[in-house]
Amino acid sequence: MANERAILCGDVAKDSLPFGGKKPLRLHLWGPHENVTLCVSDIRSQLLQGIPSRFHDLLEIATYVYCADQATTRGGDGVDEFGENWRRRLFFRITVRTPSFWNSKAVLGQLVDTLSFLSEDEYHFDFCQLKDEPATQQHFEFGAEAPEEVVLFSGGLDSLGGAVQEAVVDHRKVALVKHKSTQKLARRHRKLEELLKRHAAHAPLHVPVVINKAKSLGREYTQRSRSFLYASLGATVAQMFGLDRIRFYENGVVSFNLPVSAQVVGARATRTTHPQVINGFAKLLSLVAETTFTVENPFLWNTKTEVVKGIADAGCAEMIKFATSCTHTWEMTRLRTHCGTCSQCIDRRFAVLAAGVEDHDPAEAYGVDLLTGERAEGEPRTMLAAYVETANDVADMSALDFYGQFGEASRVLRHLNGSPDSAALQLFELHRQHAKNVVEVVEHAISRHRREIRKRLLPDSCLLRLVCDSSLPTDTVTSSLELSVPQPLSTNSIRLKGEYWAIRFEGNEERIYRPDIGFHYLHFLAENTGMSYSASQLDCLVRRRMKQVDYHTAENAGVSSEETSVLGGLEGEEVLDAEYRESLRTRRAEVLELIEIAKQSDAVDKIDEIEELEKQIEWMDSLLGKAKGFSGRTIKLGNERNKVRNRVGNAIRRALEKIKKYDRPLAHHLQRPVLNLGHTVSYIPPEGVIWDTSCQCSHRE
Amino acid sequence: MGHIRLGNLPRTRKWQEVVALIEGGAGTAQVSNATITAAERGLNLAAEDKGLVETIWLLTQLPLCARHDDFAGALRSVGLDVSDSPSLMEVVGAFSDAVDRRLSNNGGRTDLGEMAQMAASETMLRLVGGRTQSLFGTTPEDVRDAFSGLATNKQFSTFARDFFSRLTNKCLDYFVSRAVSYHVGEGRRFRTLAQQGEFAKALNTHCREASRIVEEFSGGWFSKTNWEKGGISRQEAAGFTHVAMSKVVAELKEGAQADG
Repeated sequence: MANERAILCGDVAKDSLPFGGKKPLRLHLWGPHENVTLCVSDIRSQLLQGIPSRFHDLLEIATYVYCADQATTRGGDGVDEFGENWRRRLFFRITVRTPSFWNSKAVLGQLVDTLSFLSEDEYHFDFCQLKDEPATQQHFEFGAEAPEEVVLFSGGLDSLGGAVQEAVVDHRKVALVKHKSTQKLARRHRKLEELLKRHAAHAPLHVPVVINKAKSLGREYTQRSRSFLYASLGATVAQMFGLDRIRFYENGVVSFNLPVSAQVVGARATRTTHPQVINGFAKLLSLVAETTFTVENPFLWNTKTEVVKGIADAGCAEMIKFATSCTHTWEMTRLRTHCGTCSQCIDRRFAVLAAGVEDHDPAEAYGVDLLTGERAEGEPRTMLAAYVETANDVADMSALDFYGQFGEASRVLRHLNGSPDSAALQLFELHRQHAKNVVEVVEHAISRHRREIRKRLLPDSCLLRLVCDSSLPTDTVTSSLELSVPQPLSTNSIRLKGEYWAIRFEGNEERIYRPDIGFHYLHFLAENTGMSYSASQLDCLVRRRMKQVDYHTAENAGVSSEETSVLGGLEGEEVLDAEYRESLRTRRAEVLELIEIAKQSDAVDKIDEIEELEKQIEWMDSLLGKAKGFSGRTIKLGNERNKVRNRVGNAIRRALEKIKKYDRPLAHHLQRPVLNLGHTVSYIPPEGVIWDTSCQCSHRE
Repeated sequence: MGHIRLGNLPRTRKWQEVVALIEGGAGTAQVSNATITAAERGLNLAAEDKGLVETIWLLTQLPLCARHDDFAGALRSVGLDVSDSPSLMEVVGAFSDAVDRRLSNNGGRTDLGEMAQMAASETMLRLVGGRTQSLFGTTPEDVRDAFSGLATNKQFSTFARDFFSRLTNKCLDYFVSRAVSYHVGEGRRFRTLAQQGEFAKALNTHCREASRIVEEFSGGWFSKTNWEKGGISRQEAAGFTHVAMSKVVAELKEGAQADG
């Protein structure tokens, strides 16, 4: 594993690091080198309370893990090595108050098991004794009436649903622990607090948590370990109020987070509240608390649509627009609070539409409208396509089909309450219900926008255009499978398809080739079977045609123009012919004699004459030198005819190499004597081999 | 929460060839050929992949366990933590856990191994679930009989083919899915998502065809190795993995030449 890092947390020694010692990451929660700060507070009170030392340790461990997670990159896509660098190898050396507890096999094992599944990294820990703990170090600053329940509150729709359920529907006293990741959300969070207070029997206690870290520590955005920090914070708050339970509220589909695309392998789909993770948290927190500590997700068997309906049914629909689901917070503005392209936005908007509460979630708040908005190439379009296609497939699946396609689903079965069979059935029903909700939203929208789809008034890349084939001549626009218009296929064909060459041989599947002038030559030869051309003639004819039809290929750019093939009369001849060389040599001898005579004369004016004659000698030597190569062989003028022949031959051979890779029967066919690439170029196929070369159409019509 | 990370194909020549073929309208055989050529370096390490080898070894153990008098005990002896009367879902869940335990703390885990683990679960549920008529409420006897049936030469061949077909499809789609959605929309290769879906299905079918080669020799290998050596070791499973993957890769390269 190449992606290794040692992380030294607090004042710990750098020596004896098992790996990653070259450039260890230093993290400090306090002291002169402080680069991470953690603050949990209830602004209504300044009463300080002590935190049990194990929970204090837990909080700091979680903070260090969270910061290291962001400071260590996962090495990009790493496609060639099957994502080798995605899984990092991390070694932490952390100062704690109770090292013997944290280094114990049971605790260490549980910590590593939970984290390694959560973030898909390899973890190693070495806990050292914390010395010189600052006396003033207190992370918590609250004191309030004890709540009955501690709920992790992200400010998204699911956690809002949980808060509404607890505080409004069940009239419970609840503490909402929330991580303030950005100040951009402050106003919206305040609004939610205000509305919850208004609707609830007991105003929830809000426990905001702020983690500040040096800018240089923000290199990886995936943050897979974030829920460990959340759980640690929630558990510490619960512990201080004498509670032994925390609740995450997350809809089941997102908790299970089954892959929506084949490229989404392992924790590329977050496992934030995956049941295996939740159980892992519970086991670890039980060890820390020395009593059974429960971590729950009451929405595990609910779809997001049901969660949204729950909020509306509780009379809290007005809160929906203040809940923030989008992860692209850097794009957020006061009016446009959701990008509309990330999976969270897509999921949210589908749920809102399916629940029929769109009046409380203004479309203008989305950067891209779910149904009719233009979607940029790349991730925005891929994400939408994957989400919708997965739902489209699942909606019609039997349980056998579902489990035969989502192996990841069976992984979770033993981490759920009840028998694996009943859990499997429940999980399948949950996903089918979610899929049906998505499909119904799409179908309803198609029906509503039928006219715009048919008249192509919507953007090409919007969801409704992507699910409907508006080119079909029908006034009932339906979400369609491809309706292929049967066309007789030629046994052999060679044609340009857009930029690409498409060649079918002996009725086999058409092969596609990237642009290369060699295919133009082959196309011309296939069109004129039995004819022989000189290379320059073929080159002229093909280039003239290319010019006429304005072909643009990568290879023809920069190649000499047609005129280079129009040969003059000098090519192939010597630079200096024999007669001229002889006359030069005779003249040179004469000049040498003249120089000698001039030198014997005493006249002063002869000096200029000598200089002039020597210049002549220099010039003739230069001329004669150019006519001979290094070995004394006579140099001939550049043979343009040979150049053209080589160029044409090489281009055709290059094309044949590509054909050989994908279509061996055709490569075998295009050998001598069928295809000749000698002094003349010809293609003389056996009788019966006829090529369709006529169609120059494109699939991008 | 619920974040999903997507990626792109690298801008190297071999991967851009894959992109160009998809854009140009190439069929699944040709796209598979180009993809497998580009990914060959990673696939060549298959026999060394701890997750892949463990998955295949465990797959070979299931039919053998089912022939044992104490099915549940035999499963436990190979690392599947099951009750005395396991249902199909329980066996499949335990299978996945056993692979996870082998790769504890992600030591040796790769995307290829992860895909193999998922393909194995899917194969078991699809084939054994098909035999037991239902996924839910299966009796231990049903499950045992269904797995036991896979120990024959012919049935193990089918089992192995299905697994390699799924694994191959996952591997190809792992790459191809990074490129296809760039070519969806009006005036592009796939006018609609449905067309893109059809391409994915065609790719699946092509992988199934290419995996026929595994069916031809896996049953014989299973019976022979088990008979001669009194069982199948992880080392033998690694050897089988290497041969099977090499054959599938060769088939995919050849497939673009031969099929029509």
